[in-house]
Amino acid sequence: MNKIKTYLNNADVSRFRFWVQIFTFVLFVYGGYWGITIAQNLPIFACPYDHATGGTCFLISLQHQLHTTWDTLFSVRGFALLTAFGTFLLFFFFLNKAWCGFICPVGTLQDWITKFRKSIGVRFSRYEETTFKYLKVIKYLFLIWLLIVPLAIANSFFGLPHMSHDWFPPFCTICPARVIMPLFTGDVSQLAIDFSSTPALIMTTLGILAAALFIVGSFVKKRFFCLFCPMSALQFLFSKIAFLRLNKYGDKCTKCGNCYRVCDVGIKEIADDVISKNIVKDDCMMCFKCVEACPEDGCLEVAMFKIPILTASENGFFKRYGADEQKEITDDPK
Amino acid sequence: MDFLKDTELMSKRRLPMIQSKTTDRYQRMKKTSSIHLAMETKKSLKEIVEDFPNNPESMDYFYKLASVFAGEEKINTNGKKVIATTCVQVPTELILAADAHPLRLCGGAYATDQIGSEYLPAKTCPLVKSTLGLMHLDLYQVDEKPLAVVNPTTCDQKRKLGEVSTDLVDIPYYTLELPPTKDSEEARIYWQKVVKKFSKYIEHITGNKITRGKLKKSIKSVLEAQREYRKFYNLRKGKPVIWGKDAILITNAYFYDNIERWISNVKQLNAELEEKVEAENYIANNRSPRILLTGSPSIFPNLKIPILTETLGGVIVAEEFCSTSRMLYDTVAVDEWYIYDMIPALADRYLKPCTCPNFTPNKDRERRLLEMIKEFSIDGVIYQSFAGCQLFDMESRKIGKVLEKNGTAMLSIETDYSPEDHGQISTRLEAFVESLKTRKHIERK
Amino acid sequence: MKKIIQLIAFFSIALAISVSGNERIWLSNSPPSKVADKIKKAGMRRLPVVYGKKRQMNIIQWIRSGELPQNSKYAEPNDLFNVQLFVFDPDGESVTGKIEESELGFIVSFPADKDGFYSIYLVEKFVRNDTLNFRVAKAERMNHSCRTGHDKALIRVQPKTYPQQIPIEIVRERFTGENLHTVMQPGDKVTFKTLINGVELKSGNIQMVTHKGWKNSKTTDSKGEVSFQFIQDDNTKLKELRSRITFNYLIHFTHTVAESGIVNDEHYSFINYSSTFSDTYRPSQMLYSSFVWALFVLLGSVLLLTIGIYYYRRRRRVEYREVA
Repeated sequence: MNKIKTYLNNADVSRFRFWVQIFTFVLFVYGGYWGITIAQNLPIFACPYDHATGGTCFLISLQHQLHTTWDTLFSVRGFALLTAFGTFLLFFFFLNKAWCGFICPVGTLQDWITKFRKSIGVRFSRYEETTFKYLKVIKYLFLIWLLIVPLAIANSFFGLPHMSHDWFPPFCTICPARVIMPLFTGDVSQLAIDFSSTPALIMTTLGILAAALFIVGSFVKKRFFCLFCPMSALQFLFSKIAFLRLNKYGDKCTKCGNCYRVCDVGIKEIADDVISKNIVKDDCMMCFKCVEACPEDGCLEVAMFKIPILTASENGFFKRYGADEQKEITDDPK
Repeated sequence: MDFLKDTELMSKRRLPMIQSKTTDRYQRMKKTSSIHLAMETKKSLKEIVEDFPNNPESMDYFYKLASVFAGEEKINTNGKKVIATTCVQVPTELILAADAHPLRLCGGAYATDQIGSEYLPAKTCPLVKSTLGLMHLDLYQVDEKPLAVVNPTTCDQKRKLGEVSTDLVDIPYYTLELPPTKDSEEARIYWQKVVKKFSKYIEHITGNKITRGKLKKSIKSVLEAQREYRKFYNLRKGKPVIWGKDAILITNAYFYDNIERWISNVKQLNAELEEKVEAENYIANNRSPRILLTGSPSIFPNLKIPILTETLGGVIVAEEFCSTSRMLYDTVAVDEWYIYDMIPALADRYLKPCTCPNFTPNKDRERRLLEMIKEFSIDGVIYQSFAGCQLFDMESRKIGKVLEKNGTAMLSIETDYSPEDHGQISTRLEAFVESLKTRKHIERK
Repeated sequence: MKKIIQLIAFFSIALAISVSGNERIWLSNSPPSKVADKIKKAGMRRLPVVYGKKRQMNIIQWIRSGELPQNSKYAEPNDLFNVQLFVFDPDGESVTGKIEESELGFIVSFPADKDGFYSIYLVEKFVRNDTLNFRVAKAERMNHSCRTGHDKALIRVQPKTYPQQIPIEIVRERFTGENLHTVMQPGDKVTFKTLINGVELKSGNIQMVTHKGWKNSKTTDSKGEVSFQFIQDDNTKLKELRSRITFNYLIHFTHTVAESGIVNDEHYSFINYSSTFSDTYRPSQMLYSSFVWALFVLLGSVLLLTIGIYYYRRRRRVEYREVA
């Protein structure tokens, strides 16, 4: 038992994560070519606009199911919404936000763009703390938008006229994944601006702008889109009761800030908060780089059903970040 | 750039020597002080080596190193340039990356303390006075004179030291601007900019460019040193196999020794101590109280308190000094091994986990002490503060309250480098150690 | 009683006709894949041509049979019965063409010298299963090259009918402002008029099939006209968006009347008129422009953002240098 624990604690989690990301990217972007469909209400951005998708993002089924009148929603048909939501939660509970860090194809794409940037030596950007505060609200605004608009299309709010159907699906049309993911199968059909009506024109233009922003943003900031992702907002609402946990034992923390240093999404609380136990914040994608970088034994811990799987350890830290004992430290950078 | 102007002028001023050093009085002072220093060093070493039997063999290297001032040969820097620092807050990785030898100048000798007293107010911290004495008399442990002294703005006495002693020290000072708080984002960004500026200064003064590969190499070698230190640190968590006075000497050697040699010798020491643990060859039994030292740092040859405590029966298993654990414990983690990430990573490591009382608020020091007490099963804490050190003195009451709440005994001692209060301290320490022993005895029953 | 039997016979024969393989024959610009590379194209509409003696240009058309334009087979001589070829040049005069089987397939070819649209008719008249069948395959091909000029364009594009020779006509009504360059595209509303022996066909069933298989059937009104609103085909594959790609669409109708008679010693009780009209369309302009606009917006914003970030970073760096 101890041997397994030591092996896991000393392991290169980032490399494992790299390979899992490749596998799940191929699975969810090209899975349809082999007839693979994992599920329909997945907590990741497996975009159905990609005709060979291996699964479907929960947000699109959520938008479709909310596109009903009030009476239908509260009738037996509304049960379908509950089951879809239930399936989503069931998937989510098992891996908590590790879906974001290990499995989401859009996240994987951003990580690859980051690798490219690293290879050419361009500096990354960090948000300043004040900017961070303002930008964080956007993902909740997106979530509210995608919940309200389908209902507003099918029903009349406060006696106002129904919204035109051209606003549907409200988030999918402005999502960069809709434009970018089909490109992986050679489908450029989404890279178009729909001139048929004004709402369609606005939404598709915003979609193209979002794709442009995604490409440039992911280049300069690590995991740029994850700060604005409504799926992340939705997941965070239920993150506290999920099975996979990221715990911090504040007594052991020396506030060295290593965890914040390596965090791709730039969560400061992981270093500064020494009181809370559950340290998963709304941007966290549970990539566990913080656990890898923590040099204090037992300070950060990944636990499933209260059994620790991965713990921060001193030996693990030195194995990953310290000089390799066998290799000579040469002048060549990695 | 201001520092360019300063250093150029200073380097021109190297020859002839500064006014104060040309006098006869200076020559006499130097001669007398050297003798006093040698005597003090020899005495201290004698106490360390001979009063305690069963010193580990690997410690011989460190004893030899410590007796540099007693006549042993100075440390060979292999032709590298030397950059002196006066505080633990200076990022030494940058100095190493510029192919220079970092030399920490914090002085521990009473002989140089007396010299410093001539030029500084009486109530000054003895460490600062001793450092000034060292610099004024050109008494360095290395064979080459430093190119510059990097003086961070930590405690106010150190901060002013550079400015008021330009006529006594012929090496240019570089003021490293440390922020007075460490929690706010502004302080962090400010410090990162300062460290970046510092790296440019280092490049300029040594004439070597800090490249990506060199900085990575130096960070990794310091990480290696930290790995060995942590192994050593962890070995003391169990039953004691090494005295605290030896531990302090080891980290003291890091101030001026060549890093690769230091690493290999500590490796040797660790191996030897592990064998001792295997063979259950402990230096003290269960009745000896385990003591944590904290406060103003004990620097060789002023190991008064550690030596006294251990002679009187206690064992120092941990110290929370800026000359020991705080210097080597916290690590650097770099995400992307490029200059744009390595330098902010270094800056963060030197600011964020620091428990020096010059930062306010200093909650991290309380947490650190409590955690160390738990890890090392500490029975009592000795809080040392130097006469004139306002910061440590002011914190002692706060720390005392925290430790009382935790149920740990604490003894506050105010002292300085002079050997006159030896008797007084001895009595107090004896009483403390005895009370700890009794407490332990009662607890075991 | 006789009427009832006739009616039953009519329906059964109509059924028999529909399943007996009385395929639609239509004329196509697209060559079979094996000879596609050898074909030369000429004119603005890229009509397939072969050059004969003295560089005489001959336009060729393939004869295909089938319901869906995309996967109709290339016809063989056995599929045609008693076929006659009529080709009319832009001035309405008859041109001698020939139907032949060559290495390029079973083709219709005719010499084309004039600039304007040529009307090509394949007329078949045969008796089968007690029914006299008139089968016409019509195509209007625009042979235009801008070198020859555009005068009198409006007059030259007007449709012409030839009731003496051709029993069945499907006429595409011209758009307002149609000129020599007009090509059909999705979004257009097209009107067709059907004439049998010069008389408008009322209440006939007209069907339109696009290249990708979209079908629509309508009945003609009292004037023999029917309008179809062309909808967007799925043209999302990148290779289909290359410029000047054109697809075929078919207009088809069949009409049976109960009339008896004898022709060539064969008795018939019904006459069946069926005709196809094949024309080309291209993906709509709006489709191209929506992709082009999107590409502009994407690349433009990426460029702007990159430049913005570059200057922002440079500005910060320069500022630092001045301070230090």
